[in-house]
Amino acid sequence: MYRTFFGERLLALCAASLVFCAAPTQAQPKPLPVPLPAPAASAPQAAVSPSGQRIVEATRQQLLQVRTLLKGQDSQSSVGSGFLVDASGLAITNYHVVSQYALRPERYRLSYTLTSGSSGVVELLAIDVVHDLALVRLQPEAGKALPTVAPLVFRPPERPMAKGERIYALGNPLDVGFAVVEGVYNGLVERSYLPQIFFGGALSGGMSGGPAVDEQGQVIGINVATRRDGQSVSFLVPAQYARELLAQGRGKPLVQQAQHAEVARQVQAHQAELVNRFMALPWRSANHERYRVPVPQEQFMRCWGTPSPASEKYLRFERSDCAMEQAIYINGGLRTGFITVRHEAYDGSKLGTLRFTKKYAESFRNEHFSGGSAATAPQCREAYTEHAGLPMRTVACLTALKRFAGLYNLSVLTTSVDQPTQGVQGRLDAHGVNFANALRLTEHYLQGFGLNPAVKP
Amino acid sequence: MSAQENAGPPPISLTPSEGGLGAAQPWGHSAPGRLAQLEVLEPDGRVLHAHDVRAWPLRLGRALDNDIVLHDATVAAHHALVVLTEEGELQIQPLPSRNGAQLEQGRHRLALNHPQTLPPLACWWLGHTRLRLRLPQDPLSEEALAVPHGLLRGAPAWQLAALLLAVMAWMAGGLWLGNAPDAGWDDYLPQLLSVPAVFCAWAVGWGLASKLFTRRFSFVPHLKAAMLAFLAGSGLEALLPALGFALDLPVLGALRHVAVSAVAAALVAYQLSLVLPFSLRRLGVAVATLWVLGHGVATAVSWQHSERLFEDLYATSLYPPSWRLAGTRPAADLAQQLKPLEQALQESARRARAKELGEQAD
Repeated sequence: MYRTFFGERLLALCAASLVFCAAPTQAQPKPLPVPLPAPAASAPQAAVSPSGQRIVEATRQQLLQVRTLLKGQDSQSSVGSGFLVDASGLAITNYHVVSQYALRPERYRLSYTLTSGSSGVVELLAIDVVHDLALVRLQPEAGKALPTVAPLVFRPPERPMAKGERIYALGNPLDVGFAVVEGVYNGLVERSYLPQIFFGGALSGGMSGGPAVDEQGQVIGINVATRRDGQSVSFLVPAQYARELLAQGRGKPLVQQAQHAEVARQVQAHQAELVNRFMALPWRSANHERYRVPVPQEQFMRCWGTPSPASEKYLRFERSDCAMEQAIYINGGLRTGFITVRHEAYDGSKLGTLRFTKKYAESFRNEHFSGGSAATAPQCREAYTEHAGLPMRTVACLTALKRFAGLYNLSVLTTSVDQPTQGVQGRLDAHGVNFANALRLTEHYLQGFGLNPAVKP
Repeated sequence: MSAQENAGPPPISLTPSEGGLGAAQPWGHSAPGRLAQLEVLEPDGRVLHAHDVRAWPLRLGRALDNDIVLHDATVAAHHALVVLTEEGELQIQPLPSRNGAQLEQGRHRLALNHPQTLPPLACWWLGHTRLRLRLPQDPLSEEALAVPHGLLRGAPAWQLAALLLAVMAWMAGGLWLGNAPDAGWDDYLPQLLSVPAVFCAWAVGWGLASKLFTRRFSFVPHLKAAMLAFLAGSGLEALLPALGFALDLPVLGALRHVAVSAVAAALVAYQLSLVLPFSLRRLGVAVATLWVLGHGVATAVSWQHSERLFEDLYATSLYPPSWRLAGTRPAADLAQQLKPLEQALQESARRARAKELGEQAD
């Protein structure tokens, strides 16, 4: 019991860094997200300016805390924030704040608390898993009414933000109390597949779903994530998606069933566009003298390179890891809807054929294909494939997401078998794609390999 | 040393001229006054004591007034009588006792009032005492070949040396492959020297077991068997994936664990046959049954867990490119090969979903 409670609670706090949890965890110079202890997360902040006080005055009545409670025993399983966007009690929060309820309504229930202290039931109307948003309706306790306050309004698109503008993120960090965090608008996150606002301020767990407003108190984004390895590097969902969700979900009936089918439908739409965009981009070159190696463009991926360590005298290699740093949060055990590509180019001419072959095979063996507990066991097919004069040993493995029918994880592992002391190994992983796209990606990826035209096979 | 081994050559072979008469005039022609010999046997067949029988009937029991006194607390004061019938048959008549008498063949308690014929050289039990009566005309088994005593007997020294060299060469090859080109002797020597030690320890363990069950410490047969099995197992472990690589038959590589465990099982069956008083055939059947059961269970668990038969998800061994004999295919072919997985995965996901929903409902 104790463990479950804490595990779930930690999850809720950590959900704020969801964007980065899917990043590959290999050793590389990239700053990896290291969770800070909770108190340190609420870093020292500058004193709130007079305009900050004005913001608090103008927005505090529309702010709310959203709790996910275990049905039956009223202990809280996760906490987040939200804000009223409509006089009839409609509010916006993050999908990840209400995901437990959305996927297991028979097990959880949602409640809200306003800054005034009044509370009630939260009803779920619509979700947008791709942008991590949810539209909910507040249902005050019997005999009580919602406070009559003007809802927060979205900043109109005609007034685009300028870099450096001051913004204020609101919410209830770590269930400590309602807070305002001052920060700066830094434009959109670069090389991000889904647009996200780079907020120069310190968001903490529990603020997820809260609004970020400009000096006029108009909503420009929704608090969603932070980088634990940085200082004041946080992220907001652009308000435009919340506005769209509000427009779509306003008249919708209440969600009472588990939303697996709806989540699958949204991820399907996401992967269809993602795979099309990914495949429309030509591969970059890895600048290898012998091999043509597919390296993705860095439009919405980030690539990190690693050379062989200086201590390794005989086997030289270069490694490249490319990953989308955004994954769609589905629940505590599943992040999906992203692609990673990596390769290693080996030169073992100083090792000799047999010794090189042993090391090369060890690297080929040292791969895992588990889709985690959310996916089925992998099923693989393997063959000698050849493209552009380069023979390769290729393994393609697929797992199916258990609860989200029609979505699969694909892993393609391939290794060149043309030279006794030289080779290239590559791997592509696509999470949460449909079957046809898995096949397309397999072919597309393998066709990125080959011998350079100048090299004779 | 047992009484029998000290007793010298059996009496019947002493005077060949009497051999022909043996059938017509069964007894009275061996050593003076000795009609037969009663042997008290150990469970493994060794003779613990032998008593001369000088008159029939023969009364057995713990009391001192018996013809032969048995020192066994589970034997009654007067436990059984052995008589010679007019037809020249030996019969056993149990006397009243708690534990009774049993023929080893059949192992049922003999009735009190029913004298039971003793077949030639049959073993029988009074309480915990195992007995056998030998008559002069009973056939003798052939003289067994003496197994040489001594620690290093059992195989020629050159054979052992050659095997040990082969094992160490194999290990050295493995070390050489894994070590960097500039590795020094200290990267090889400690591990190589441990090879004889490990095999000796293995053989000593089995030697001690054989001492326990056969009373003889046998070392060399176990050492030889272990080294042969090691070479066979390592050879298969290397050969199968290499063949799989050459011919594009991943299943060969996946079978290497099965092959190695089969070699190990054969080794254990052989070594058990050296140690236990059962034939190699019987032990072979027993070990093979266990091996099949073990693999069956492991495969079933693997199937239940990951829906595949072998541990390997794919052929993980690579060899020099020139070893490849199989041809290549275009990348699109592999994508086509994946197609049938869709249905299998859907089915697998459906089962998992049903299971999870069932658990939630509980």
